Amino acid sequence: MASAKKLSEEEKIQVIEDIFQETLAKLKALHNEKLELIKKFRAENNLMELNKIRKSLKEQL
Amino acid sequence: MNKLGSVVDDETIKKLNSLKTDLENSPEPVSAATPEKGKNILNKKVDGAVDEVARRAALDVTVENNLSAGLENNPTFIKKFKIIDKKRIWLYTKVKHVLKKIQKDNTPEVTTPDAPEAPAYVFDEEARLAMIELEKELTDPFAKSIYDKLADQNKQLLLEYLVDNPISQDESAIIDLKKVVDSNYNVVYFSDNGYLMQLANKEEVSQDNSFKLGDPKALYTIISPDGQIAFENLDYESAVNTLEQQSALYQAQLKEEFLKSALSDTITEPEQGIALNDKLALNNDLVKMTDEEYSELYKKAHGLNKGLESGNKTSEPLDAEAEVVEPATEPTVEPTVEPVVEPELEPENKIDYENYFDNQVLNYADKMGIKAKELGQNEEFVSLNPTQQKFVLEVLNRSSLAKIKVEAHNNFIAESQSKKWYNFGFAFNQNFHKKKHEVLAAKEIHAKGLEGYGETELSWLTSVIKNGPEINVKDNGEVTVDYLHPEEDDSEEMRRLITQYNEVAYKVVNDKTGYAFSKELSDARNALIKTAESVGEIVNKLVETEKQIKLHQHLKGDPQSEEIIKKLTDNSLGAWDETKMLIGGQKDKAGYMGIGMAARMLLRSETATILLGKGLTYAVGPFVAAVIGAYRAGKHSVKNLNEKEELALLGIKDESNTVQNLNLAAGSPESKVLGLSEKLDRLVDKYNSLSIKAETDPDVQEDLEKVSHQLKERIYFTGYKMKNNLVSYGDPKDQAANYYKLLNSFEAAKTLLFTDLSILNFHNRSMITNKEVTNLTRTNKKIKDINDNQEFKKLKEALLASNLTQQSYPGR
Repeated sequence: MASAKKLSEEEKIQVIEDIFQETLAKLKALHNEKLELIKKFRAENNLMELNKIRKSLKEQL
Repeated sequence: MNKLGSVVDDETIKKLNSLKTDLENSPEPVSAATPEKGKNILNKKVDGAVDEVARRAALDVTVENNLSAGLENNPTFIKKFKIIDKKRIWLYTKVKHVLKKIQKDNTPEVTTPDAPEAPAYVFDEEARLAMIELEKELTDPFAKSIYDKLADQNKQLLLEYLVDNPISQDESAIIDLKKVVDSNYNVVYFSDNGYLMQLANKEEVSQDNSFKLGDPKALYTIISPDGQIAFENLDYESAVNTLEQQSALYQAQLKEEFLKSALSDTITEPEQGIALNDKLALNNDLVKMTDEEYSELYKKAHGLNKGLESGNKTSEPLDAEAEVVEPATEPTVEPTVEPVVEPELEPENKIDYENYFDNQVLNYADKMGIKAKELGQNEEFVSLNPTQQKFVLEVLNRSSLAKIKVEAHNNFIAESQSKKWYNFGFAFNQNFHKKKHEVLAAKEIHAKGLEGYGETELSWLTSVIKNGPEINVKDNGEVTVDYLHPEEDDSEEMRRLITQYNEVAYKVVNDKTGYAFSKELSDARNALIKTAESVGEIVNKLVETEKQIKLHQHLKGDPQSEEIIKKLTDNSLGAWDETKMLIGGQKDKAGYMGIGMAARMLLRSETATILLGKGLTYAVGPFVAAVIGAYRAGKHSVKNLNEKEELALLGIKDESNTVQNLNLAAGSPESKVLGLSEKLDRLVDKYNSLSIKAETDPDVQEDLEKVSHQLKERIYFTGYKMKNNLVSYGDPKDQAANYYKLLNSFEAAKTLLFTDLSILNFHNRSMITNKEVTNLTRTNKKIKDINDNQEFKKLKEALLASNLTQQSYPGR
């Protein structure tokens, strides 16, 4: 089991603080992961659009 | 870090970042608060931290949604997007739970929220509704008491697993939830009472999105039924042991609680209370009582049986209610075989059967669990030479894999019919239970000895091998088979070519790929045809010989089958093995790889008897075995058949699309469905009758050409289907008959094709190569003269005699 021991109030506050900070870091990592995802898919989308334009230009020429 | 310049304009990024920075700089309720003593401060900190995490998460979501505008129509993106959302929700819920616990308890668990890979336990709407539907089925009291204790995340995981692996069609109808499933969150084991074993560091150990569970770097987390992380950073072995131990302890505790509650409920009914106490007195150790007994006791205590007897309507039949969660480790089920009581023989009558056989034969038989006595009593078998005997045993052994698969599948289905989704141990660990039945079936066959493998099969194989070419062993141990014998007056060159041909032929038979030596064989064959004095004679011989080669090739099957069988029979099915098998079994496709050829050798004794009785063997029809080579090559080219496809080829019916796409080898008279063989037979009949008419009536010539074209197409199509394993041979009991039926129809059609040059012009797209067509064109006239269609006539006669195709040849 996860270790369980009696903690003083101060220690408890420290534990809460640690958990809080760690959670924020994890949230940030997830956020970054999603931003990267958006960036990747946007780039792909742009490329596709570009190809479409190229194709239509070629056809027009 | 956020290099968004390439996708969003600078102004937007600036705006969004400033908004974010402002919020990040706002006073943080935890770190910015002045430390004070007393519970109020602690409460405030917890509440503040939880709110702040929620606020940050919401803010992130807003920013992400703004930036992703326009990408909503990309399903891949949305899928990945949602997975991250789920992880975030999980993270929030988890941290909230942990912090609130600290707030509530004086002894907080010093633990941090788990990595985001942990399961999300926020139900979306579809999952929630499906769960409600499923929960209606949960009428068994003990199972319900266990289920009620599960945390939402554990419930969700089970549900998500069931979406992909429903136990029954009814349940899959309820959980039509492809929308719900993302993954199984790396959970590799789900105990009967809801303990989860989860791989914590998949990224570190996975390659190509799969991983070895026993990888030394793999770390596992155990999550208890209430959704808490019970153990972390365990290696594979300790994780399995810990899970089993914890699960057993928890099960004992559940039983105790359940029984106590049942007893307290029955105090008002003295009679039943006494019965319960009696039962208890007999079972001092509560843990020893089985779950079923508890469930029964509970039912008695609540008068459930009475209710049913008196005709009260209940939503579930009693049998269904009796279902309970099985224990985490099932008792080892060893097949029990009645010991064979050897009749007392007078000393002079005792026969030492072992002396009948060569050591290598005895060793192989021993490996299969067959006794020398069993083999010794089969005179035909004894009359074979040792190499032939071993050959027969090898084939018998390999073909048993198909039996094992079918038997195991049927037993698994039978077991699953008695299970419900809330039998977690079964529902989640279905792969293990499938494997378990395979092990049991394999052990049973092994334990029964020759009876298990089939005495009829042994006799059939013996006769096939005995009437085939001579198999002999050289002094250096090398095996040769005289597929082709030289004639007395053959030249030296001819003898040399025959020896060369036989050597290549033996390579072909033992080749694993099924096609590696086909060119060599073709060259050796052509050399013989070129050199022979009489082309007709050698072609005739070759036809007969290659039939034998293909037959041997077919019979030999895939050597891998032997390894699989060995693996199955070696398994002890103890608790630890169970887990290992389960876990190994999830990724182990090997079990389904080796059975292709063995499947086709599933000679049910009754069919074999019919075939032998009617004189219908491989000897019927020219080229009859030609197709088998194609089978073998096809088998190897599509080796990674999935389990459903393999079972479908074994005749196990399934409603899935994969299986519906299979063509039937033979139709059934009742359903008026035509199989491949009937379709071929019809065209052959039509062609024959038209060609007779065409001799006197030139008007039918056009029709004849049309049918000829259809026949070519049909032969091509059937050949393609057979080659690519796209044919279902029906129920196991009809398989051999259907196999032969299709084979014969196919060969009959091909024979017609070979003997009629007018149909031969289809080489541009047939399975016959141009080279072969050239050879055939050259020799066709001679073949026709020599055979005068005798083989074809013989084939039809034999088919008619065999009674297998009466339906296809009406009025003949």
